[in-house]
Amino acid sequence: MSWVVLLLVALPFASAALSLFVGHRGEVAERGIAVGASAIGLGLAFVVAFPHLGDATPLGHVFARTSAAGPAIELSVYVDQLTAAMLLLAHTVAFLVQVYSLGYMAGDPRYPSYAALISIFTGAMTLVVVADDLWVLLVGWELMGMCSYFLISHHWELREARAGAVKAFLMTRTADLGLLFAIIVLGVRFDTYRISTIMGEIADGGFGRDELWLPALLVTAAVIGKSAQFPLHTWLPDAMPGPTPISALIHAATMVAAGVFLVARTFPLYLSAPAALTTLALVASLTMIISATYALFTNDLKRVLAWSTVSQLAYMFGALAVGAYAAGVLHLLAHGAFKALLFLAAGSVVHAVGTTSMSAMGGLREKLPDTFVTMTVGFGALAGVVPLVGFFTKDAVIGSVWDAARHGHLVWPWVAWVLFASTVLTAVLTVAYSLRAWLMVFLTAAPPLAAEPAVSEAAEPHEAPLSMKVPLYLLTVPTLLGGLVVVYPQAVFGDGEYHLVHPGLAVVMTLLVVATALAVAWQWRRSGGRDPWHPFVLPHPAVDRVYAVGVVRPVRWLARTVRAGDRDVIDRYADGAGAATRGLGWVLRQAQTGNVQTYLMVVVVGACAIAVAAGVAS
Amino acid sequence: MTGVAQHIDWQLIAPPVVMACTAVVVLLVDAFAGAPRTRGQALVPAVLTVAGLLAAGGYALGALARDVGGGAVRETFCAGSVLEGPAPCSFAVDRLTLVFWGIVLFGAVVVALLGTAAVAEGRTPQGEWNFLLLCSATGAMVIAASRDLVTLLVALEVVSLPAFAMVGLRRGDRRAAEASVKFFLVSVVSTAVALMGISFLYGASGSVFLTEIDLALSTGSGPREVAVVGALLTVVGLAFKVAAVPFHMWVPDTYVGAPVAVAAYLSVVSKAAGFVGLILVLAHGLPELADAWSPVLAVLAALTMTVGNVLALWQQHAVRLLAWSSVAQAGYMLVPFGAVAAASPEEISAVLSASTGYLAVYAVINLGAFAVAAVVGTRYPAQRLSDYRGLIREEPGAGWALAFALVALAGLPPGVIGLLAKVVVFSSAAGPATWLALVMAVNVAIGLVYYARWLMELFRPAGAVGGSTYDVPNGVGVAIGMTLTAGVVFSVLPGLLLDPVLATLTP
Amino acid sequence: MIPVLLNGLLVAPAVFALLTAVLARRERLAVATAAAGSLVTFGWSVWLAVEHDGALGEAGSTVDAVWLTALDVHWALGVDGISAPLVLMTTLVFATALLSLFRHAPADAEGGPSRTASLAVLLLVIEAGVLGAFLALDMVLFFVFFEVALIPMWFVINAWGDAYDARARRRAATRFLIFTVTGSAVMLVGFLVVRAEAGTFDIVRVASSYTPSGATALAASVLVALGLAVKTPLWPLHIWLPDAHSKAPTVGSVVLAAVLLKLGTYGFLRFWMPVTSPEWLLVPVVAALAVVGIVYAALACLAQTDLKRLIAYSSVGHMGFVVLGAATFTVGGVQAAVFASVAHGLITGLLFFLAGSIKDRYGTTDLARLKVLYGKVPRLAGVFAFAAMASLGLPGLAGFWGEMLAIRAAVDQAAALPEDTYRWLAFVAALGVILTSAYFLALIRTMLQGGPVTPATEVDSTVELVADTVPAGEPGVVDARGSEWVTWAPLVLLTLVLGVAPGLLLTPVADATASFLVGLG
Repeated sequence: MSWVVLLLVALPFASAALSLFVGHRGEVAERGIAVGASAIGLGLAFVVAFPHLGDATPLGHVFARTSAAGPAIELSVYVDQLTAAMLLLAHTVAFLVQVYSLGYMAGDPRYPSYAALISIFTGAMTLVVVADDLWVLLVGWELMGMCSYFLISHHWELREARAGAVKAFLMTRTADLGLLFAIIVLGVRFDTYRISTIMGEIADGGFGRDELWLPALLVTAAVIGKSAQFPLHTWLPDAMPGPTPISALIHAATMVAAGVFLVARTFPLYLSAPAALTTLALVASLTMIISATYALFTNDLKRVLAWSTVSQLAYMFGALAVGAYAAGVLHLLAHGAFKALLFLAAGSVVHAVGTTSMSAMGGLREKLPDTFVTMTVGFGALAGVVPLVGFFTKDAVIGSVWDAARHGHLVWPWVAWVLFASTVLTAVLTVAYSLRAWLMVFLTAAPPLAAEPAVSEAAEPHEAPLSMKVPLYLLTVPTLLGGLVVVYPQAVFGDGEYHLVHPGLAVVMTLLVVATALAVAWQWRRSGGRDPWHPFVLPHPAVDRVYAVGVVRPVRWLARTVRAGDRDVIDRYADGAGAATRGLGWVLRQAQTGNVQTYLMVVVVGACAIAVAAGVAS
Repeated sequence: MTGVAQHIDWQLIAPPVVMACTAVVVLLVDAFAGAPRTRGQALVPAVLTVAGLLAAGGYALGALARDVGGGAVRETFCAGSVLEGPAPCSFAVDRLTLVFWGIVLFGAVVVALLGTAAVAEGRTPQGEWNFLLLCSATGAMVIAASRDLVTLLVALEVVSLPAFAMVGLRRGDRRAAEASVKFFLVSVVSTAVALMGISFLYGASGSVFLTEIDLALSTGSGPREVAVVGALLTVVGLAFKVAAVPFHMWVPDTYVGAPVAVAAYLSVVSKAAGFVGLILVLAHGLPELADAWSPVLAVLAALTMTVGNVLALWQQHAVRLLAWSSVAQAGYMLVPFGAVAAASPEEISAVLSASTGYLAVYAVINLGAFAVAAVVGTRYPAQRLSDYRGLIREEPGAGWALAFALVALAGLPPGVIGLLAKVVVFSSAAGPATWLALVMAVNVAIGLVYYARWLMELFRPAGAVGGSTYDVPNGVGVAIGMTLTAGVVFSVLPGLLLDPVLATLTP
Repeated sequence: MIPVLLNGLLVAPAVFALLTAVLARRERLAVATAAAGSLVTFGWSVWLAVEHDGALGEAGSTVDAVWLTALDVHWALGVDGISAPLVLMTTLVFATALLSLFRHAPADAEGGPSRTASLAVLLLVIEAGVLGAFLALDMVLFFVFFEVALIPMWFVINAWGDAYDARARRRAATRFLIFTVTGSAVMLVGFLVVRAEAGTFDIVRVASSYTPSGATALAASVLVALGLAVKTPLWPLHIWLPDAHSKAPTVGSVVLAAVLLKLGTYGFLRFWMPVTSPEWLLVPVVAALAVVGIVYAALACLAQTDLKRLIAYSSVGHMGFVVLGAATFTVGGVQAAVFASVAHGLITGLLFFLAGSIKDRYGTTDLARLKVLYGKVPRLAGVFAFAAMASLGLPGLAGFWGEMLAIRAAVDQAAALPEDTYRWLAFVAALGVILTSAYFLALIRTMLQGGPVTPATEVDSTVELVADTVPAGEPGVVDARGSEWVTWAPLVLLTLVLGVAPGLLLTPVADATASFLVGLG
């Protein structure tokens, strides 16, 4: 079995290499390799995952170990319930994205590198979730950053694509340092890099409260970067110039989801360090409101979804921060399903309209019936409408925070209360922006045509090809039925007491949803069927200004200074030494008159000097 | 043992004697043969000279047969007057002597061969030239064997006086004449100083024999201050010979004014005479005063190498550059003298052998450089560095020889022997006088600049490409071959040269 | 068996250098011979690497003959897990370099007749010298081989370097020569003082029996470090490097960066650590200088306008990690140092090859004039992006392990060293990693993707698709040639292999270090 896991890791990289080298050889190779490989990958994922869901003993295996000084670095895998669930999610989404790309990226000359990068992306995510060695995990972790960098800058002729890619890479890599140092610290502390061992030891107890605060906070830093939480939340929306299927992959199943996964994987560490949990809780409660607000006001469909991802991730962190492991993970899975659905649907909208600006859309209900249906389901799930999956998981999250606020012990009650307030508020905002986007895309009167430069080949919007529709419909299935898992979580996590369903709270939340929906609809009517609150435009997040002023400019200034310093200072000492030597030569040369009197004089003087020296010496 | 009757060990003194006789023969042959009609005849004196030198070399090797190589010391001209204790001797042959004889003979042969370059121009009387060369070389041989200050000083003058004549020998060359005058005057002054020093030493120790002086100083009889002053003033006279700063100023003018062959002679044989003199006086005679003279020589060494290098940086004239570089190299050879302040007498001898080793290597390499300079001089008398452009292409033999000599002088591979010579000197100073070693390290780098500049000229394409109009007399060709072969062989097997040489002074 | 292989590894390139010199009149043949020679040497080194048993000291595993009795200098050669990787890397890089030379010769800077044969000879001589330095177990012998490469390299820069700027070329060459010679002379003095202390030039015996202490020993260690710091180079003695690397011909730059710098880093591991006591303040100072170099070089790279200069400066940073690893005095640190050295050799060699290919095509390495290579020469640009990623330390590629392990070693340094200081150094070094990523991304952005560098933060909040015009590949400029693939492929593959399986390198180094430097944590 463990070899299957290894194969599952290796397969995507192999297919990537193949499609890079023979990808240009023609249609079949170009398309076949990527899709075929991801299909096999999906199959293997099922093979690996199902035996480890529910009540199952985790699988652990070490393939190779490096006799390094200190703890050894091992190539080892570990498959437990969490891993299994993540494998299913990642590979399903990856497969659907590959299929979807057949239609979406048709005729793109850079398809081979694109498909290869998606494969690497999948492989990297697989590596992260199955890794049992912290270094191996770090490898996958940063590989994903690289893939997202290249995929965001897939259209590198777009200035924004280049900028967004660099921003994403630098922000995440900076945060990754946290993980690096966490690994080093844990290695020094536990004398091993094996995650299962370390977490086991911590879970067995024997560690004082917050004794391990340092590694926990370091991991948190890395997670904040990867999952685009405040204050590093700005790279994700700027990553939107990338092709839409990529966004689906990044947001639903791989890159940002990895952050949540890491917290879940190192959960014992967090439980032992409430300091980290508190930090996480506060960051989450702040992030979810900010990003929901941005989602509410931005005019760009993909950015709406991007911001909503950020806020939904904050939800998951919120749940984990109060110790509600199951709720957080389940919301991650649910979100994976409906966010992938939403992005792919958005993709087909963009594919049809040729722009991502919502003011250029509208009246697409008739033109894109399939997209309309599926995306409606997606938005519903996002807004938490009964009985879609979002409703259950979100309810589970809010409920667990509510419990923690009343009789929690991990974080201070006030933190939990703050968190609770922001979760509720965010729920409302979510309903608002989902509904707004839905209205503006599908129901608003269509704008005059050719208002926007159409990048797509057709002037008149038209439904996407089959290869793009099928994934949409497939994704509606988990979105509709996923709620069952929340009702019966033992299917995933095995036996145990999971307090996930809160009927009273559910009713309250549903009422809130309805109320908000009515308000938004009314406001929409009032604004004459256009953007409900359209004069408002939110400025770009102020944090970016801070970075620009506080980091980018100083660094550039330093760079210029260093360059100048190298040229004008350090270079000078070299030249100076040479010049001094030559100068000395010139001076001495003056004595070399060719005049014998001078010579004799020097001889005599020298002799006397030596005689004097002799007197001194003796 | 009151051996009143002076017994002279003829076999021991054979080498210098043979050379002296050859000198007379050469002079007579030249006088009676009259003006040479063919080039062949013109070469006769040179041939005789080389033959004489080789014969001398043969006798020198004969000394080896008497276990001198094994460390034994053969002496003669012993003062019979002393009744008790071993009689001090004026003339002794030990391994040090043999090494210097080797250097002197090798140098003399090469110079004699170089001298044949002047045959073509016909302005240098071959007879006198070779006569003077042999006389001077004889003096150098005697110094290496002398064991009392008087013999030493006389021999030193025997080296110098013919040299003045050799510098100015070329007929109708005013610069040569001027050069020899400068050389002469400076030499006279420094010899005078040296004489004063010797008299001081005699006054302080009551003897001119080095062993006696050492005995007197070690037993503490005799005023130390006077001895120190005497020692240092004696050093002055020898410092002039080795062209140490500040007694170096005659060097560039003299080298440039004199024929290249003479410059080569001065830079190797005459310098060697100076160094052997220093070693004898300081290591045999005055080891007790090391704490006094060693620091002074350390300063001299630092000054010498620095001045030589920084001034060489400015030179565009090949021979003048070689002159300054020889000053700098003398500085390197002085380093071991500056590193023995705290050493015991036996150690002093051992350490100073480093300078002997460097001198041996330097002799081989430097003669090679001068030999090539002699060749180029036949085409470009001006000896500008730019005249060496394209030498590798047009005269590969000479070109590669010079290239090798330059990298070896700079102390870089493939001139491994030059590199190791520097290692030897460094190793003598590292520890006791690390500061001096560091000064030398910097100087090595400075020296590299001008050697590299010259080296680059050799490889750049020549300005005026044409058939070679270099005139390579056979003698010079042989000389180049000898030096290059020696250099390469020693680079591959440095032990051949350095092991015996470095063993010389180690008791 | 081993002794034969050891001597043979030095003889092989020398012999082929002679052959090439003999055949110089018939250029193609001569260069082909040289290339063949480099391949033979590579094979030979592989054989040696397979044969050797990883540790020095036991009889039969080394060559030891008296070379110079008077000084007690020995012709002592040996190979262990520390030197073997560097030897292999060296022979590989030289093989690629000579193959590329065989494919298309650089123009003679003097404008004279092409002298590629001579260039090949010089390269082989350099190879022999470098290999000798990696194998030498006698300090003086190491110094001698250290010097062997200088004059040939000086010629390479001087005669085949940047044809557009003769003055700068000469200046760079001479500066390289002077700096290195000064450094090595100082290093020699240090060795001799060590010898005065320890009584032998044999580094293995020094490492096992000599415990440095006292002012003299400290002075010796300082001198050795100083000399090596010039070669490595360590800030602020790096100033010779950018000129030399950027003015040299492509093969010259490759050899300089990939191989010659390693003489310095290897010297730190093999000849500095044994004569140094971690108690001394010297060690943290060296580490601090290394870290300063990391950040300094990264900043300098951010402001560079010339491709080759940028790569040259990046070397300074990477070497900083190597020295930092050595200055932790842990086995982990040595592992990191060796790994980072090898990785840097492969990756920077590749980068310089690519820079050379770019210069061949566009006649310049001025970043202001190189734009949108993704559009013009996609394959070449793709490989370049790969090399850049490897160089900025992307996990899964060779560049990652060395530097991350160096940081780890700095956090987990030897007991005798100041803990907090090293923690801070590790942190700053990590910032250097970020800056490194920053300048490589900026490079990709300007040179490969094209367009002006606008700070990532100044993109306004709604995406408008502003497409720069992408020039199609212009006529006459071909994408990657087959011959170039031959040169790049081995480097790319090894970068991948070492990135995926670091154990291949880390394990032998750990064993060798444990046996060479006894008592290292």
